[in-house]
Amino acid sequence: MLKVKIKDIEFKSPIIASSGTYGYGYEVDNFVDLSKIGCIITKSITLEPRQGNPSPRIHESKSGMINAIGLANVGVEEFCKTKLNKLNSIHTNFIISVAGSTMEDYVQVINKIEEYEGMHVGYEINISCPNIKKGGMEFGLNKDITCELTSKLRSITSKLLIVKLSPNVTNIEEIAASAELGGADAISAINTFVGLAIDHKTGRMLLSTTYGGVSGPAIKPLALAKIYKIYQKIKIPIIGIGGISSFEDIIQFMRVGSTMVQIGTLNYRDPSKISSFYNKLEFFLKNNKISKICDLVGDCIEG
Amino acid sequence: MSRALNKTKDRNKIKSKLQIMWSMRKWSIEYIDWRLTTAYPGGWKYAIKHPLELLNDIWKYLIWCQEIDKDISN
Repeated sequence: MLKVKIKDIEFKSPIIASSGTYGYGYEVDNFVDLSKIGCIITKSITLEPRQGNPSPRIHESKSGMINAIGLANVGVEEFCKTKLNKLNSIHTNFIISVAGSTMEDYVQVINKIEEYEGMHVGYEINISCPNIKKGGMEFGLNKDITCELTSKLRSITSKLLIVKLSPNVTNIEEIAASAELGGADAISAINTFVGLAIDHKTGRMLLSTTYGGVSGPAIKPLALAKIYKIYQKIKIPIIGIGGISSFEDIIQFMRVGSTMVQIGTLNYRDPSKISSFYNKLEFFLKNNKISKICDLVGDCIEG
Repeated sequence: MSRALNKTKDRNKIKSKLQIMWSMRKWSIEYIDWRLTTAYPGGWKYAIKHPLELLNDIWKYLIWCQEIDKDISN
């Protein structure tokens, strides 16, 4: 009833734990019922290890949070040697998130991972990273670079290739279409919005980097709008992200065109919460005589 | 009357913070380690060196959890 498919990969449910909110994935295995989660996306992996940005790098805001963690991770070498084996034994699918500062970085990270026997079903490409060869502009802000990067990565892996889009662009559907053209199997939308937090008394910025990424329930209506726009433009599946905190939210995201959904900020509150949505979704479908959850995808009526 | 009401509110807030902390008892050491690594460059080593910052952050986190719980239940 809750099973969904992207390309030839079947997922137990449309619920995905978002990158950077569930550790590398195996850390939650003994206290979260992973059998009810369709997939876990690992923390973004880069070519070299990264400590990330100086503290403070997380700010708890109203109805969400602002983070500037800065892709802190162990690097691909260490990930393959110490984390991949542990991930291979978790009780659900997992996808590896990949980040980089040049196109070659992304290629090298994927090539390295492919050398090992990982049970991952795909890669999520985090294109909200500054491209140092293009003066620090994010890959995801330019449709031509997005297309070029996607097609380069398409040529080196047959696993699922999912491109995660930044909402901080004028025309997100254009970027989604160029990822589709480059050979992506699915689109994850959306990543965090650029935001800032400041102390009203001292005037001090509350993040060491000044700017950070806003996530959580506060961005849900913005995310729904972006996803609906993308849905009308592309044919490949969309994985909806943006402030989901209940099973009703999941249904709303599916109705505007998401085939699956990712849940992130809620995991910072309680990582076991998302597995509870499985039974609630099942109950909703039975009560409303809907035989498959994928029947909800794009099932909406314009006002 | 209003002082009594405020006292009850404060007591409830403390109670809910304790409940949030109690729900964290299931977290694995690996998960806690990852949360610290996410929050601070250097992870638990940084947290040990900056105990006041850690306590302040935990307090802010508990308040945030209460706010998020309110948002979700609405």
